[in-house]
Amino acid sequence: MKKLNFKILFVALLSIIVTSCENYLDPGYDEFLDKEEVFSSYDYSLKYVRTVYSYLPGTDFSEAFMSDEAKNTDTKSSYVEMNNGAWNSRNYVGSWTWSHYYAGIRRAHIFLENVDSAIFVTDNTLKLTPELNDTLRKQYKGEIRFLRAFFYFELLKRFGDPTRNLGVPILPDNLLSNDSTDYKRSTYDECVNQILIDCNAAEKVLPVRWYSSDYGRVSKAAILALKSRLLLYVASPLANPTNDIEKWKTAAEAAKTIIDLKVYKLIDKSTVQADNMLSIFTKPNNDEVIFCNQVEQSNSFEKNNLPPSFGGSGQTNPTQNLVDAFETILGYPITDSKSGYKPNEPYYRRDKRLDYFIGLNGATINSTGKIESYVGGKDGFNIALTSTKTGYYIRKFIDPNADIIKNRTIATHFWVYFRYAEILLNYAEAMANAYGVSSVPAGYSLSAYDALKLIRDRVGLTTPAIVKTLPVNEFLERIKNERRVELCFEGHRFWDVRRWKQGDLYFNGTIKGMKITKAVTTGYLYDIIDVENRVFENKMYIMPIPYDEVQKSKLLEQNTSW
Amino acid sequence: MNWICSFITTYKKHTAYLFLNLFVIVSFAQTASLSLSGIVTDSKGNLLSGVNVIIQESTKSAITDESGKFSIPAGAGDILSFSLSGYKTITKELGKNVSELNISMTELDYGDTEQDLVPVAYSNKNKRYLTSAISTTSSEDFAKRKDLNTMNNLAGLVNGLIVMSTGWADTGLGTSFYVRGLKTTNSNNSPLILVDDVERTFGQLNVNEIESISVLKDAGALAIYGNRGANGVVLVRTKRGNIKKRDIIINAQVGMSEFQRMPAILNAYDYSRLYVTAQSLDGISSENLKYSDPAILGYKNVVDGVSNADKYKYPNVDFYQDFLKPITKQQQYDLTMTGGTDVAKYFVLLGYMNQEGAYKYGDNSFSRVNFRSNIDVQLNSNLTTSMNMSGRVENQNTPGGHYAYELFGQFASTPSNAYPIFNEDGSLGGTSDFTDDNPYGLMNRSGERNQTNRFFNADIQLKLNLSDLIKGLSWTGKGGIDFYDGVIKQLTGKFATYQLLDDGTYTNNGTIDEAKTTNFWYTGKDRKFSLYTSFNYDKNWKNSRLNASTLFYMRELNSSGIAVPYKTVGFATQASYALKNRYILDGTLSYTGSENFARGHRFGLFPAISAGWIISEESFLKDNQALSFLKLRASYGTTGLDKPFSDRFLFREKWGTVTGYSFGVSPTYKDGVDIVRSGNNNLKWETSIKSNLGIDLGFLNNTLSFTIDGFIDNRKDILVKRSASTSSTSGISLPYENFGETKSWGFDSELSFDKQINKSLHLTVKGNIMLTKSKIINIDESEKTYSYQYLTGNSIDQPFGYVSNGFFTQDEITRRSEGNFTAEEIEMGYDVIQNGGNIHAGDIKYVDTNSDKIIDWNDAKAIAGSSVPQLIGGLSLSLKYKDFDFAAQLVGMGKRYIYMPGTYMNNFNGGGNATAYALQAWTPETASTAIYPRLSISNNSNNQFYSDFWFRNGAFIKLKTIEIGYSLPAKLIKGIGISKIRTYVNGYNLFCFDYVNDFDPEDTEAGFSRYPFQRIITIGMNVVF
Repeated sequence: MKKLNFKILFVALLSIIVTSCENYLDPGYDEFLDKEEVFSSYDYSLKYVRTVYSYLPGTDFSEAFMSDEAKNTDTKSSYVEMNNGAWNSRNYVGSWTWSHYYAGIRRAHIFLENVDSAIFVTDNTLKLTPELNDTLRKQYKGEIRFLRAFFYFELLKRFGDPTRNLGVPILPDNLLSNDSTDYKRSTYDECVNQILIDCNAAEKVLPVRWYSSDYGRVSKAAILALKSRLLLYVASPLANPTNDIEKWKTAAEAAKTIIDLKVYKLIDKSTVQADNMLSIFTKPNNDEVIFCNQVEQSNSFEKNNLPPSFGGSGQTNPTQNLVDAFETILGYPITDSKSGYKPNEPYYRRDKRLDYFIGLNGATINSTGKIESYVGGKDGFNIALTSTKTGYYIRKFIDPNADIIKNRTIATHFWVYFRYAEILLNYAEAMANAYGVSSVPAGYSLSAYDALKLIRDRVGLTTPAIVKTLPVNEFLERIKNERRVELCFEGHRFWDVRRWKQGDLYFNGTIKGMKITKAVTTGYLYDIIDVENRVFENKMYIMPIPYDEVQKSKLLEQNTSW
Repeated sequence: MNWICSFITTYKKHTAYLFLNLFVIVSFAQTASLSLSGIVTDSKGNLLSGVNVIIQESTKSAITDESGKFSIPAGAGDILSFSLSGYKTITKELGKNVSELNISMTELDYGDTEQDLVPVAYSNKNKRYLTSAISTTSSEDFAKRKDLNTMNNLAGLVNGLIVMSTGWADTGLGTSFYVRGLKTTNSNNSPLILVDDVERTFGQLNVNEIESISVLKDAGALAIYGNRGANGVVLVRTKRGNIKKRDIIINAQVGMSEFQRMPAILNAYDYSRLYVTAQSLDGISSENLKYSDPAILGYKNVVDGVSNADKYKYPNVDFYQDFLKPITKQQQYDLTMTGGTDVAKYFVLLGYMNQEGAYKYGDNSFSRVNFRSNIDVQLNSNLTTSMNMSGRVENQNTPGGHYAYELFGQFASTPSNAYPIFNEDGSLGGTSDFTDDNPYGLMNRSGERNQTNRFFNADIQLKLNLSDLIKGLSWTGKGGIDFYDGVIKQLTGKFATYQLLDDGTYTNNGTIDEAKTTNFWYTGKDRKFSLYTSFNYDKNWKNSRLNASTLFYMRELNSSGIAVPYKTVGFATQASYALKNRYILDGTLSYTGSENFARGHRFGLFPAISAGWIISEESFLKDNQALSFLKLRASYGTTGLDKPFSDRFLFREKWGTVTGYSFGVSPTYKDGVDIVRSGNNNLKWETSIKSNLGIDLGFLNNTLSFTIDGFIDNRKDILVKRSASTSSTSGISLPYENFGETKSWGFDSELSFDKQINKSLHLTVKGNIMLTKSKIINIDESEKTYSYQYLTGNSIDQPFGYVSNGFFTQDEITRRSEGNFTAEEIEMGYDVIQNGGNIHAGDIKYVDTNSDKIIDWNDAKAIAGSSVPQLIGGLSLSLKYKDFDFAAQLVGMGKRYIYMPGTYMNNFNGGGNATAYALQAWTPETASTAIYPRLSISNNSNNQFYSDFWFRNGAFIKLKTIEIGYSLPAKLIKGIGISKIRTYVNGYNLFCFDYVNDFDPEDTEAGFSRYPFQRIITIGMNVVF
């Protein structure tokens, strides 16, 4: 009996020790957050919404350096391979987007799975009612569904191959948190459809436009703008080799919906002339920008892009190819004899946007002074590693208030995803393809020509009467050129040339620059020089899926020739 | 109550006694005494000379002469001790009226000396009864190394321990330890480091406060550490007082250090000359070259020192030479007091070290004060207490608040002709390419930083003899506290630099000079608490002995910035049984827990069993003259690793703050929240199953001994995330799982020869060598197209890359553009498409491993090897001849590979800096002799590919130490209260023999982002009172 008691005592003692040791090692629950906590708190629910927003693309110039818009001044950057044709599925600079947007999509899924428990009204809100919380849940749900659609669009635009009707994998709903996923690619059409479904659901629950402290959130107009861009891509030659007119009509219709809202418009002529069009890109909540990235105070754009003598890294060097695309003030391309273009005075009486967007030799861009990009000037060739390689610097988006030398950081920036000018250009392109240059079908108020003219009038550029009578294919080239100029450096060119199937024309060949030398007496001498030879091959219309992703998947098919 | 009272009285008494000893430093008070004399012989009656005769707790000592005679003033009650290397020490208390004493000393057997006590977990064990693999080094050996970082001083001294120094940071930090090579594919391959059985670092301890450093290598020694022992354990024991005469020791040393190897950067002339060569090779036309011929001539004139050369327009700056002192001074002084009686023993040290900074400008230095007081007091016949207190204060001044990597990074990356340090008008030079980076400005105009780190540790241990209760039973309890805090005071400023333009005016670069701002912050605050308790049982029978213990330990670390303290807790029990003094069986069972895993998965059992057979005790060997000792050992058991990387509470899904997003017209940035780690409740520690087989041999009365161990370590349950094998479409990273597996194996061995050759010559030679290999058995990887692409089957840390095959010839480039290859040309790979874009003659050609006619990552295979060596060795020699002593130590590493420092690979890349290698680069003229590829100023990615071209054999042998010492003859200093004066000259890091010349093979970043290794010549003196 005594022995038994001792045993019991021993076992009891041992179990007490072991349990208390287990307890001793417990981290306690203040160390980490968990999912339940996140989706049952006002603070964290909102923070999670911000997390999903953070997957939106930020200011991204990489595609400008891989198109005929610009050269990156850094000779050891990865753009060297992107342009000399030596890139592949391992070193494509946009490879990061694959995992980035899938991470964003997965987070959107997690949000949508848990939104029903999320709290969006604080306890101290006077109007704390279940109804209000429900309304807000619906609204956030709409925003997140749009973001998911946007992320899919970004993936589809890169990795989707419409010629083989191959899209990207679409994640199913209700993924378990530890599910590993290996999915095969959905079709291109399924992806388009998935994006449209999310957009259509989201547009019903969101206001047309947000103001003040809500500015920057997803609005109905943003959703319509994404649809407009998507449907334009779908109608374009790359995805529409048979030139199905219906697709152009759908695209035109999508752009028209935004025009018909009458909430957005082009910023007027006097405003943009007063500040070189900067108000569009630096004044939040203007009437032209439909959707943009978060508003930031920063001078990093200026730091990266001002010429070296201004304290910048002179990163973006616009090409002569782009400069030549700007018409003369008379509204003719410089190749046209009626333009009045003089090669020995190349910047004289040109489209005003040339001066707005390109840092030309002699331009005053902030209080530091003038750009001296002539040979021997303080920003001329070879003065510093960061000196221009083309004779030009970028001026678009540069806020003259940001002064690097004096370390003044007052500059407002936001990266524009959609603005009204793009919608007009989408409209013009789709209308011309669907209905011709100047016809206005029933229910429509603008012809393709009218839309084009709006863009040109705003910067004081004449539109010669002859444009209205051009055959559609020639008129389309004018629209494409307008798009190239108006939307330069905004992340369009790289994709536009691809969807037009004009890679060989624009991206395979020499990038030119301008050698400016001080003349012996006064003025300058101008010589166009070769800067870099660019290689474009057929496979480059579609981006390669990252090597590792194909390697580790059993189902993922690589794009052709990668 | 009585017990407590007696405790206090005894304690008071002995404390008072101790203080008396400590502060009445040298007592010359001569007690009335007789002169004692006598003769010392060995057990066979031979006369012994050189026997040290001392009177405990006094300054009196004597040495026997050639006829074994000694004479010493001694009185009744004095305790005499007789000691001689190779013989058992004898202690005798002098009776009344004794004036003559004859002593017979017996020779030592294996395991008899104090040095033969080997540190094991929480205690010491006689070497004879050891069944596991443990190697030890004593202060005598590592104190000869003069590195600031005591950890670096172990290289080559401990059998089985790989010590890799990563150059010197400002404070001499940076050591990696690996016990028996790499074991896990995770980042933590480091052993657990314990100082006096408490988890502490010892890099900044004074070498003179350390008694020994041991490395525990096999399951028999490590199982007791449970889930923390898998990577081995380094046990540091600090010095304690001995029962002997009282010693006061003063050590003083002054060292002069110089950098061993500096990166070879091109001078301005070579830079500008080769820059345009590179441009031409890139196809840039002659009128667009960066440097015109007159400019290159300008640089040449400056480099050649032509008198009217314009050094402002054509600067030539050797940054290493202009900003580093050729020689810096190192000083170290310490005072030690040690001694003891049966009742109380003490060891007290106070040390000061100062290392002058290497930068020429700005306030830079590092100093350290160490103190230690280790006291043992026998409170009564059953109770002993040990009190350890130690601490240190480190103080560092850094010019401009810039870390070594910033300043050295600047020296290494700025071309010699970038700008003059000072312009002609006195302003600082600079260009927009190197904004804010003028080193003079960095050191002298951008402020300063002062960092102070303070450490304090205190342990108290009680040992209670419970023999009254059960014979042989005792209890030990130990508690320890550690404090650390660090403070930084920083003054920060900005400065402007100016560039001379062609028109003679200056343009300002970067920000303009700004007022300095002061900041003050704590870098950290740690509070550590540890507790240990054990019951020990010792029993001897006629033929056998049993030693058993059961113990419990816990540790808690609170650090500023962490919400939940780090906690460790464990139980263990051990037993060792020896039969007939020759058959030994040991068993260990530990039960330890880790906070890193979920409830129910926290605790684990770690058993180990080991056995030894002392064959030399068997009758058939007992009388062998040559072979004096032979033991076979074997052990098998498991240990674990609960923290394979620094992340904590790995089982829990973790949500935390991430990048957020702002809404609104005016930016109001707010954080986001997200899942940052997926959880896995089934997660457990990495398990290591270790087997070890060892042989210990002693020859010629153990003057020559040899140990060899073979080992196999099977690491299972390695924590791995399935990311390489899982599609990113999941959008979320998967949790850790226990599925990795590796195996490592090898042998380590050591040899020691220690002999008094004759009366005046004593020779010691020690050497060790280890060879290891590892293999990945299972790891996260996707299915591969080619079998050579798998990591599985290769060693841990095996690099993968392209295989190079010389340079492209001009002929091949021409033929490639023409096409229509001949069969021979196809054989030579002319039709293989190289993936690096525009290939020119002189670019590196790669092997088409898979013969698919295109060079891409599918051609990458296992190349070279890890930088962690598979082969290490050390050799030490020490000689004592009369009053002279000499020591030399060699350290070597082999079977390792190093990747060339970036600066050497990237000559002119992107307009950057260039090294002497550019002089040996390919040009059309040097095509046949070139050893480096074509120069290019653009990003010549083809040549930068990760390939075997840039790997070098990383083997080296370093002559670490040569020390020559001279002790004044005892006769000379007799009677002035000094028992020993020794002076010495020491050379540290003297030579390195290796396969690379322009950078250090041990740390390729030394000189580029860290201090280069230093060669130090030290002169010093030890005085013993």
